[in-house]
Amino acid sequence: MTPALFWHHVRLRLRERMEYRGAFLLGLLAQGIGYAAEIAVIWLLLHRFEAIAGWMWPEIALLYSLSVLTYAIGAAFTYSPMTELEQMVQRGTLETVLVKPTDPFWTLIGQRFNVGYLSHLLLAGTVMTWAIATAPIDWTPASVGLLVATVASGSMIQAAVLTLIGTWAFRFTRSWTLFAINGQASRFIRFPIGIFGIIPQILLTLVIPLAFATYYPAAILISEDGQLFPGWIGWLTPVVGPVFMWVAYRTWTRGIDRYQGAGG
Amino acid sequence: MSIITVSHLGKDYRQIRRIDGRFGAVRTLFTRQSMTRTAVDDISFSIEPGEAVGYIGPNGAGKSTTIKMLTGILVPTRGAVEVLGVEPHRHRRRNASRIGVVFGQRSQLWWDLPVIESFELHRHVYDIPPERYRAMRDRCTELLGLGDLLQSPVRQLSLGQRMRCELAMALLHQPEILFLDEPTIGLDIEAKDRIRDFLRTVNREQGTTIILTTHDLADIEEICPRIIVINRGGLIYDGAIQSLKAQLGSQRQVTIDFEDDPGPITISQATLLSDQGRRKTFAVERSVESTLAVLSSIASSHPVQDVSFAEPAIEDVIRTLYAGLGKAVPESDELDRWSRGRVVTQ
Repeated sequence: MTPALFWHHVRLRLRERMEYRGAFLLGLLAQGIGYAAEIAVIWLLLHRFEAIAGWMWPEIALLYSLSVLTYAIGAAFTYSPMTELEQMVQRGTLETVLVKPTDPFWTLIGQRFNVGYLSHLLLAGTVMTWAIATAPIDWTPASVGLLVATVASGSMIQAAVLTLIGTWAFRFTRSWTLFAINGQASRFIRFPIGIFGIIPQILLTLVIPLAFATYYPAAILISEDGQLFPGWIGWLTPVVGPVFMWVAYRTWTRGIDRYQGAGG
Repeated sequence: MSIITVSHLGKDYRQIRRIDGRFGAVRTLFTRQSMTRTAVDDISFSIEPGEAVGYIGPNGAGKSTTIKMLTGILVPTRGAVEVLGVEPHRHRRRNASRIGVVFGQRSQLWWDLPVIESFELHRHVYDIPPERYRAMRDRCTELLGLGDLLQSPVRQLSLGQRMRCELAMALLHQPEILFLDEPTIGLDIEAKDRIRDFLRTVNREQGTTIILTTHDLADIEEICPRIIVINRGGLIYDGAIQSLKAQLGSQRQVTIDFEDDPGPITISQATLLSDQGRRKTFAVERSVESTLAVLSSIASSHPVQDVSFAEPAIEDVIRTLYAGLGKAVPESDELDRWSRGRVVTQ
């Protein structure tokens, strides 16, 4: 599928959402309030305790904003198509995608692009702007490059996690429980990974590499030492995202093949 | 050269067996027990370019499964399918660009946008040259009477209007084969007529091959000279609709209004179908001789007021066909298929 054709799908999706402007704006407001409340809680906690695992409030704010920003971008692409996949398999609407001469993955993502993450973007953008201005970061071309690459690569990691969960729907039903677990699990990466035990660190690094979307690159930016894994692995961030996304795409495509073989 | 060749085609569905009782959900997740259910079994036929074929059978007979294999959505378990010279599931996208598919129960239009937006996207997805797109769009608009509908959001259309738009869209890229899965389901008579007229025109004038599944046999009578009938996954009839009628619809109904209720009547060449006192309906052999023989024998003993004849409807023919094969009636079919499934453990 060409990028132009992909954006044609996304454009139609945006126009479709704009048909219900009131509901759309209310949704944005609700999401915005939820996240703002969460930020307030962390700020209050830090106000009392000064630091979490040696990370000060601006540094935590950087972690938090990276987490929300990458999630918002990644989820805008894959959240709706993947959560709706189970229903599409059950109702047979997936078949309308399979009779088209385009890649089913990109067709679905274009058709169901979600603009509801706009409030996440605004909020995370504001917090991040403040954080990078306040946190003790040594701004060099390398650190600027790493930050930009982290946003792009981290978004791919987040999109890939949702894609892998969606793949579950081809085989078993009840994928929503996994989406709920993921919603909770992704909160881990809003805090310094060192405060968790060894197992969460291994999981978030080697199994579901979400720590590459936030903690590892942020640790390099603020010159923090490594924990279980050495600090330099943060430089792998630009590679981890595309590779993990590719793995997720291949897995999803194999799920489609299986669906075609087994017939749901 | 056939446009579609199907030989010894079979499709099994594998389903994970759900375990009831304590911790059933958890045990279902970890069990490897599954059940194989045969949806299509050893079906063979071929279709020539320009044909219009009705694919019929009771609920659960395997119609949709076959269509899904022909369109490349499902991979066959056994046998071979060839559509336009390729195996559809191996070359799904290439196959997709040369066929059109309409699902009666699943819309392919963008629900909240004007119809024309879906058409424009379709043009880009199928990479249709602008002039060809405009020509085809205008032709379909005219034949289906779409007119202003193209500017209306899909959600505001009636089912009949929406189906006309779905049909037009499926034809924009001028597919060589058009697959229709229950295209007239839930439509009123006028909408059905309009769609049938259109399909006939497309088939005759453009030479588009049409394969359609339906439960409304009038669709078949008006569009398809040939029918393929399947039941419980197997093929039971493939041929002209006329010869099926001649074979099975060998009886006609004769309804007689008597001047007074004649009481019970028994005649060897006629079977009493319904008795409403003065009005009785008989099934009689279709030949002129036997019809006349029955009539004169009745009229000689009882004064007759009026007589009317009814030719066998296609529904009756198909019913006779299912019954004659000793196959299950549609309602119990679901149960039957399950009892036929084999339990395998792997």
